[in-house]
Parts: sequence; C-alpha cells; structure tokens
Amino acid sequence: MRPLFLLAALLLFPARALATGGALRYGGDAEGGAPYTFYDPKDPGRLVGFEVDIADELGKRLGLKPEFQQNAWESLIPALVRGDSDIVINGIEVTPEHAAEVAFTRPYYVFQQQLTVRADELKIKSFSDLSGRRVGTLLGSLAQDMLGGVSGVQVVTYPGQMEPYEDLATGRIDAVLLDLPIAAYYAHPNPRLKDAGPPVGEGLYAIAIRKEDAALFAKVDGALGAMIADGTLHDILVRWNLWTSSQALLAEGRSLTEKFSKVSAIEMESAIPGSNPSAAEESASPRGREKNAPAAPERPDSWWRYVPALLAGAGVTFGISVVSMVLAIGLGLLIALCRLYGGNLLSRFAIAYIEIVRGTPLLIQLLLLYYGLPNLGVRLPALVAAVVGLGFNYAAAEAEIYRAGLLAIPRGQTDAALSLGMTRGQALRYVLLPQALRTVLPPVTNDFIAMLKDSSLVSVITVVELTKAYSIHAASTYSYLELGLLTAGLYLAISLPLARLSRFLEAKVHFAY
Amino acid sequence: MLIEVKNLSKSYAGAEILRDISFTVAKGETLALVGSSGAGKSTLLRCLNYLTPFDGGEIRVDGLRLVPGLSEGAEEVRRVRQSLGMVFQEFNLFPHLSARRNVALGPRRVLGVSRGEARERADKLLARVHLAEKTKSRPGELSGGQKQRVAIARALAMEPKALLFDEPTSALDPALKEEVVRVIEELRRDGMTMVLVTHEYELARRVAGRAILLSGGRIEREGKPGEVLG
Repeated sequence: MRPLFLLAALLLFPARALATGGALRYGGDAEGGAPYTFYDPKDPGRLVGFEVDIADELGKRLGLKPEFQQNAWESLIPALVRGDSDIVINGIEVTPEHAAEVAFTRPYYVFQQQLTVRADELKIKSFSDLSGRRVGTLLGSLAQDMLGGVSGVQVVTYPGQMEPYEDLATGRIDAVLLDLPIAAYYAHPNPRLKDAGPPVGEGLYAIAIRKEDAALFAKVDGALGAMIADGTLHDILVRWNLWTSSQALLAEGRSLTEKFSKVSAIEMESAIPGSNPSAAEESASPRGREKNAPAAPERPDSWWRYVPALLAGAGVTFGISVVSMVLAIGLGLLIALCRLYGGNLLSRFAIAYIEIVRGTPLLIQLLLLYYGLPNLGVRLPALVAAVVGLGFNYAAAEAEIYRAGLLAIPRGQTDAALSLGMTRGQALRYVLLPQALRTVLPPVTNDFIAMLKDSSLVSVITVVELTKAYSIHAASTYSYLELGLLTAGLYLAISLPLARLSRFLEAKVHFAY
Repeated sequence: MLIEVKNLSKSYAGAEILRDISFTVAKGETLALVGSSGAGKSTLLRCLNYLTPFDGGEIRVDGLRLVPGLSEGAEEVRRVRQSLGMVFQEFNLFPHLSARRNVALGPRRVLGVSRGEARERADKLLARVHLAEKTKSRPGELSGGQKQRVAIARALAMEPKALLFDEPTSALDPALKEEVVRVIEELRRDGMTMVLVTHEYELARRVAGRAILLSGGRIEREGKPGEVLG
C-alpha cells in the first residue's frame, strides 16, 4: 500500500517530489541570451550568466543541487505555476501583472531601460522623439509595456534580445528599447549603434516562486538577503560588469519588491514621453515615482478586450497566407513545367529546387531570409520575407502536386491536342491544365490550410500574426484557455469556408472521360 | 499525290518497327492499313502527322516535307498536323469541354477564327455527324459511338486535306460501330481522303478502295481490299 501511495504522489506532484530530492530547479531561457543565462559561446556545452552564478550560490547556501530548466521566456511564469520548475531566475521583472501570478523575493538586480539608435541617427535623442518610429524590443518585456504607452510608436517585438539590435543596425527599425544589461552586452560593443540619452526608469529583477511554496520562498529570500549583505551578489554583478550605482537600492530588500508589485511600470513611466521632460531624472528615485503614480493598480483587463488584437492577427495570418499561396501556386506551376517539359538543364534545376526546399525546415529558411540575407546586402522587410519564405517553401510542394496532376492525364489528350496542330504551350493551356485543375484542387486546398497554420512560424521574424498575437496577450493576461479557444476558433473561421469553397469548386469542375 | 511516303524506317529501343515503307495516297482515295497487332500499322499512321518521329526516309503531305529530326514546334510539323485530321481508337475527347467546344477549340486557338465563327462551324459539323442535339453535352454524357462522331467532327473542323483513323471502331460495341462506319462512308462519298488503320477486315473491305497489308514492319501486299485480305 505504501509504495503505491508514494508512486502516486510522485506522479501527481513531481515538482515537490523532486524539490525535496535535493535539487533546486530554476527556470530560464538560455535563448534569451547574455548576460543573464546563456550557453558560453566559447564552450557551448556550458551554461553561464550572472543568474547562473546566483543560482549556483543559492544552491550552495541551501544545500540543493541547482538544475536548469529550459523554457521559452514568455512561458516561464506559467511553467513555474504548473510546476515545471521550483523557482525562476531569468530577468523576470517585478510588475503587478507578474506579482498577481507568483511571489517575488527581494530583488537581485535594479535595471534601467536604455534607448539605442544607429550611430548615424540625428533625430532620435530621447523617448519624446519616438512618435511615428519603429521601435524594437523583447516580447513580453517591461520595455514593451512602456512603448505601448507611448502614442504613435510602432512596436516591433522579438523573441530574442540580439535580433532587435541586428535589425536596428540593418535599418529595419529605428530604435531599440531594452533593459540596460542587454544593451550593455549587445549594443555597446557594436560601433554601428549608440545610446540615445541616459538610461531611464527603473525596474527590478527578482526570483519568482509559486505563491503556495511559502517554505521555499522563505529559504530562497533569506539566502538572497545574506548574499546581498555579505557582498557575494555585489561580486557576481561586478564580475559581469553589471554593477551600477542604482544597485545600492538592493539594500532596501523586500520592501522594494512590495512597492514595484503594486504600481504598474507603465504608470510609473507614463510621465516620460511628453508631459514631463525631466521625468527620467525624477524617476531615478523610486520614492518620487510612487508619489506621481496613479492610485490603485488593476489586474489585466478581461480577455475579451483582446479580441480586436486577435482579429488583427487573424487578418495578418489570412493576408500572408493568401499572398504566399498565390506566389506558391505560380512558382510551383513554373517549377512543375520546368521539371516536365524543361529539357535536361531546367528539369535538373527544378528537381534540385524541390529537394532542397522540401528537405530543409521552413523555420531555417525564414531565419536565413530575414537575418541571413542582410549579410549579403539584401534587406527584406519582415512581411516580404514572410511571404517569400512561405511562398518559396510551398512552391516545392505545389510543384509536385501539379506534376502528379499533369502526369495523371491520359497520354491521348496530348496526342489529340497536338494532332490539331496545337503547340505544346497551347496543349498545356487549353487541354492539360484545365483537366489537372480538377485533380489538384483537393491537395492544393489541403496545402492552403496547412500554410494557414504554418504561417505562425513567421513570428520568428517579428511578424505579429494570429498565433503570435495569441501568445503575446495570453502571456500578459494568463488567459491561455479563453484566448486559446478564441484563437483556434479564428483559425477554423478561415479554414472551414476555404474547405467548403474547395468542395464547391470541385463539384463545379467535375467531369468524366 | 496528296501523301507520299518514301523509304520510311523507324526503330525503337533497338527493335525495328518499320522498315523501308513506301506508298502514296491520292486525293479522294480511302486507303486501309491492315495487319495483325504489332505489325506497325498504328506507328506508321502516327508517323504521317509526326506524332511519332521516324529515323529514315521522308513523308510529303500536300507539298510539305517531313524528315527525321524535326522538332516538335517545327513549322512543317504543325502545318502537316493541321492538314491531317486524326481520329483515335479511344476518342481522346477533351473531357472538360462540351461537344461544341471540343470541335471549336482547334479552329479557335490554332486557326484563330472568331469565337462566333468557330461555334457556328462546330454546330454545322456536329449536325453533319448527326449529333445536332448533343452540342452542349460533355463527353462523359455521350455513348462511345457518339464520342467517336464528335471526334470526327473535331478533326473535320480544321478543314483538313485528309483524315487519319486509328482503329476508329475497335473500342465500340457492334451496334455503335455501325453509326461510326456510316459517317465514314458518308465522308468517302463526299470525296474526303482517308487513311484507315484497322485490324477489322470487314471494315476495310467496306470503306477502303485500296489496302496495304503490313507484317513485321514491312509492306507484305498492296492492292484491292478483296485481293489483299484474301
């Protein structure tokens, strides 16, 4: 009886079972990058970063073995809540939204936001010059919220923190707003980029722990307090070149976390853009900030307020899919014709195209198009790269469908067309292609629906389509269920009528030999 | 002579399919090419409009000269095809088009006549093969005999100098054969030049003025159908 019970407990509560097994599982996203938690470029098997040092030190003090749990950054908090890790140390900002979901220890870092522009930029000197500009930042970051509060700014979000600076350097965006440690690591060494004004605002990174894990919370918070008091944290930050004068605030400990948990950062920073030019200086003191802040912070809005954003995302998904499919059909037909009738050279080229495109992941193709091509001097805007990537990828599949469709037509059809004196081209156009249309309609419809879903991959190159809109808003409201069902419904709302249209057309072009 | 074949030869994958074939077809004549299956008669017929290219010899059709090695798009090839209408054993009608548009497609796209004129021509020809009431039917809605008559109308629509028939009745039930044979007889009476490939000796005797018996890719006998077929 007893072993069975233990087994059940292990299955039901794996998180706790492991936590008491002597491990400290800390969640993070190594893709998020330096200097937080990342794989050492010189030794890619080794996880490094100032947060890794903090986790190691915490483990040492608590007698637990630190164990890194990889997860996408925007999913770290939900993953913590559902028990994938014991704590999260990964640049999680203390905000009322986050504090509503998890408990925060005392802060381990006080960060500021740094606005970065190209070295030759003359116009953008501060926040107030951003209206009408494209400004990049990390998805789900405090900076994204801050930018959202500035009217006229077109916010471009990225899953990683290196990409916005890449795009800034190549001119796809006009500025980047991100946490100072990120700017210090990625932007400052790049001679093509420069700071626009001094760092602004202040925010806290703290360790997130499930609200019900009170015992673990007390232990971790206590150990962190000791690390601050004896200078261990100071040494870690200095080692990573992250120590700034603002870090003196760390001594305030838990009370600082409390303060930031109550007042939304957007409200704190709302003074920055226009109304008060000296807000940046003023906000250097958290006390001054609290005085300016509006009264009570609110939980994020109800999920249905995000319906327009999801509809906009659905529009982007539909638009991209339609344009990409038109490209794929045109190009696919050309490739199929090259392969069937193009002679030796063209047909070899067509086969090579199909094999290469079909045999490599769409994700890699998109990343190559968007981030790789600028190295060769070709700088595609995100939407163009998305359409080209999807269109060229699906063209390979379309080509094979058309080839099969054309080959399925009896040989006598070509004989009959040619015996009338038609050229090959006329035979194709008036006799073969209209017949192939019928056989390819179902698989092409199938591909279109597949593309509708594959188009969510273009979010890696900053395009906010339906899935991305969903993950952004679900991450900020934690309404994964409601928004998820709504998003699925929107995909169906596009694909079901398409399937119906296809069946209608099929019936319409039906014929027998 | 409308059609002259001189020393024609054709090999495929090392096997000789046609060997030193020479014959002529006069204007208004109906010639039957007969022989057992594999004798090369269908291949020979397809060489006449270059649907199957050949390796040696030459073919003259109404002043145009076909020789080995011509490309698909060569001017002579297309002009010979326009002047020799072809009717296939399996009909090969365009299944996505109505009977009328099957017949009108050639004049419209190859000869470039207007849509109205092509349509008028199609309706007239469909009436000539006794299918005036089937102009709007798709091939899938027609019987085998009706399909073959549409195919004859389609070939006639290009106003050819001669018609080539490749086993025109072999895919048809006896009852449906008769309606096709009757149309072929009518064409003969109207003075159409025809080359007819068939393994059905009865058909050859009935419509042809002259017959050529092929065997193993060579001409074995030539003469009146009654004499050649024995």
